[in-house]
Amino acid sequence: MGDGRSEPPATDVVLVAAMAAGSEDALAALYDRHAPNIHATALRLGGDRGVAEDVVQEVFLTLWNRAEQFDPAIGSLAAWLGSIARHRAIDRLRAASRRPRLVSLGAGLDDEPAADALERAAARRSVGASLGAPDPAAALDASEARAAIAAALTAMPDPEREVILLAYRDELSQSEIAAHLGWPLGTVKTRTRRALARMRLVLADVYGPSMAPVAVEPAEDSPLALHGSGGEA
Amino acid sequence: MSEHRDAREALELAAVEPGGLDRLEAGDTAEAAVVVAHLAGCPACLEEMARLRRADALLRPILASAPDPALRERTLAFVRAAGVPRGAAGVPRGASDVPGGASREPASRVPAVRRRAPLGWAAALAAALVVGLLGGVTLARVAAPDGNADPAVAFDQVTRETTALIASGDSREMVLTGDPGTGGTLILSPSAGRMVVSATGLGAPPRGSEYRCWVEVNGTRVALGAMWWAGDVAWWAGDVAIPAVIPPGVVYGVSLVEEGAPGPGTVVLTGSL
Repeated sequence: MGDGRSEPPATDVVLVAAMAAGSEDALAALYDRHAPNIHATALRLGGDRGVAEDVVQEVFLTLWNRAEQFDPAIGSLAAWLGSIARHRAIDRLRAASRRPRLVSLGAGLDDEPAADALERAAARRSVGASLGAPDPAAALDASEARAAIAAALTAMPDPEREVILLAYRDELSQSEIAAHLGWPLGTVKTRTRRALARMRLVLADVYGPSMAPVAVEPAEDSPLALHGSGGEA
Repeated sequence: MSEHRDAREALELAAVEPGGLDRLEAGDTAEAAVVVAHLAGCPACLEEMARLRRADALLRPILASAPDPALRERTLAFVRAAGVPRGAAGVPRGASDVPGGASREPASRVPAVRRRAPLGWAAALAAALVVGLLGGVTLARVAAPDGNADPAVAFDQVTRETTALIASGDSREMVLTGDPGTGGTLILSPSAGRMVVSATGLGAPPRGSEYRCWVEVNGTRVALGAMWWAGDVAWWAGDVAIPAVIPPGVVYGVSLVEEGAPGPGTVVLTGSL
């Protein structure tokens, strides 16, 4: 490894095998790779962060306990985990007696299984659903972006993570964040900008340099001095 | 150049608020009007705004549905507590086994193999229940042929309550002992004001009887509640006022008591901190 290049990431198959042999680090790596999508799926279906977190925990417990059942010849790990997540989320919805939603969802589709109705409704609400037919490449990018953003969130300093999540997840304004955290407004702004810059660099890694910030001071010989070499996406 | 920097700051801060860039672009406030005027003559800042819009369109749904970063540790701890044992005994397997595997977590925080130790018997119970029960969880307590509750409820409640109490940070755990083949675990958290008791090996209570948890302080026994049971598992969880410092001599236990009788019944399990 003297060429300075980092080792390629282990495949899911390798990680599952290592996990089945008892490696918690492999489990952690699988969590980092798949938890963001599982959480998003469960949140989309259940509409509740508590349910989504329960589902994530159950999915990874199932993965740990039933690792031997994963067969890459049948389908990808992401698909398998996604299927478990959907079933768990639907179990939770049923257990929470949210059946009234099914009445309206099933209108005109009396024979439709409840689980299908739930998934159909969730798909309607999903971000990508309005974009037409699913694009595998776009889905892969989105999945990669989710995992990369989650990793960046975990790695960033706590204060920056706190402000960026309050801004995006809880939709608080800068002033509201300052009041909520008891920090000076200027501090909140500085940390927000730093966190946003980190997020944009992560996006640039996945989607290309057109996601990166434009240089603050344009070069004298160019009206647009851009970071990186890319232009429009 | 300060004009560029001011515009960038305004753009970035507007971008993180829903509809913020639209409001800024409308130029309704004095500050926004200055930025709009700058954008009209600055292609670089105009391009920056376009990039921020693209980034926001991707970031917003991702961050809105991003898991709480703390969920990672909670999930790993949950699996550690309730998962089936894995790995060759005495042969730790860690990051070195996994090329390109997780590397963010310091080894000291997530040892390669840690099985069972944090929860001991409770983990064994949960793990035993996990097998075959994960297919369907119903939270309703229903009559079952081999108990007064659905086994899925046992799994759900014991693991959930146990995990929650451990996450409280001040949980204490004790082993309850009794006749050979019987045993139990009691976990309590003063800050949560909650306790979970689980036991195996007690068998089904005779008709008209029930297992009841209790605490004894200075010789006075206080009933906590009747246990649910499913198959070979009995459990109880509930709110209990617990002092931050539990004095010595406090005894916890489980008795077999006639339903409706005040007790004391027959002690089947006891333990103390």
